[in-house]
Amino acid sequence: MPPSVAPSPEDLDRLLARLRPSVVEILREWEIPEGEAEKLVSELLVRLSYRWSRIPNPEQWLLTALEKEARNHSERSRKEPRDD
Amino acid sequence: MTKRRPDPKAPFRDDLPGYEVGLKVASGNARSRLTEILQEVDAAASLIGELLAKTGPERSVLVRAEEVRLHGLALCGLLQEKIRGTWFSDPAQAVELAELAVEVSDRLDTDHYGVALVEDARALAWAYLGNSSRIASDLRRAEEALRSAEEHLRLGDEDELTRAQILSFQASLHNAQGRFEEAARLLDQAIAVYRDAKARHLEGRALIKKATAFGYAGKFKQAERLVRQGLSRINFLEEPQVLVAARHNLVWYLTEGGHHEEAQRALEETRGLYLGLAERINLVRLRWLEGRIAFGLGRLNEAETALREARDAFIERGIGFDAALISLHLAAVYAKKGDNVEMKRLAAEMVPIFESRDLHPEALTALTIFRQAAEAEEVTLGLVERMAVYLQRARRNPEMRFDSK
Repeated sequence: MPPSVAPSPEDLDRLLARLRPSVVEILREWEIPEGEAEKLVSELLVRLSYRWSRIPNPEQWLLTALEKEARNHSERSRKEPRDD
Repeated sequence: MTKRRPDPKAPFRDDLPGYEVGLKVASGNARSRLTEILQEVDAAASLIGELLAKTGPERSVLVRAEEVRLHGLALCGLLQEKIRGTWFSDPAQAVELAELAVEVSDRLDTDHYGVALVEDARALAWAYLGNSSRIASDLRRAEEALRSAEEHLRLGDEDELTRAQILSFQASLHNAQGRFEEAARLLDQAIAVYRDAKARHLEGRALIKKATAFGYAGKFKQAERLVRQGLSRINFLEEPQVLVAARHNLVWYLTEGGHHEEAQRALEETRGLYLGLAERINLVRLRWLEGRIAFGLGRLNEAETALREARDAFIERGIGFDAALISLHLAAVYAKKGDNVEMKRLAAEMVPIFESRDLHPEALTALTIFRQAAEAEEVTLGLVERMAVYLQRARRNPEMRFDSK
């Protein structure tokens, strides 16, 4: 059966509920502040929703993408000059 | 998943949040965007109908509409589906649709979608144009389009699945160019991506494609091993035609590798699938395989009957390349029989093949050499076999020449 074109709201809720411990672990490991985490995860969930029909394993995709984005974010913020 | 914390020796910070609020808000944001996405999918479904009903300039006007700027992402997805459906039935139309997808992706609004999604859509649109051009035998354009796809991939979020898709199309192009080792190397990268993404079916497809690269290179043992690995991963229900094609290739590798009895057994196990799918062209290919196996087992009359039937069916459909290849396989039967009369008749029967439009000039030159040799009663089994290998490799490479020496 071909995958549906977009997830239902329940699909996203279930996905996030199942992945919550791993998502939190990644965010903590890369020391992502709460406000940034919200933006990052929102953005990834939107990307995932648009790509839903061609992603065979959404859970794996989300974790891999989050790891990559969190690492990029962490590296960027360490490079930025600090005021203190 | 490998974790690399900023400083692996530093203790965990306990001032970091638990993210309860952040994740809740993120989920809410995504939920509210979902309604919009579903509306966009509906709008795209009617837009694609309108677009396909128009031609040339009218189509370009429609592509420039505001609707496309804001609803184009779903439209790109639908166009890709259409392109996949026309790749082999109508390559010229596939190219036209892929050009349209590139045009649409170019109009996408980055403020609305974000750079990551837009560049990813552009990368895929160019990748599809590349693959469509390759199938339509325009290898130069295919190469350029796939280069553009890579550039757009780098500008976006470098999605791994998109990367694997581009790698897979590049591998097909390398196969068409006769660069089999490079094709296999690219497919190794795609296979690794699919494995990490736990995309078992796609991993299976990539393994089957890698087997094709080895098959074209004449490494039938490796091709057989890879196609078996691929078969163990693909989901039959998702794409039954992939299963039939892979089983067909397996029998082909066994045959060409000289394992005719094993090929015969594998063919019997696959016969039901061919019949189940009931696609006429697959049944013709089945007959071709039967002819090749019979030839390998020394049952020359049986081989002749099966190959003639298959050749006539391809001629009837105007598929010149396959008809030409089967003619050479038939020539091998007559060479083995030492039957120069039938060999000459076969050469005379090749006129409609020469008139078919899918044979490029280099392939026609090679077939002319064969006809001249048949007339002069100089066809040997060696010449026929070399020519068949050439024709198989030169199928989508109009620049490849046959070396008659």
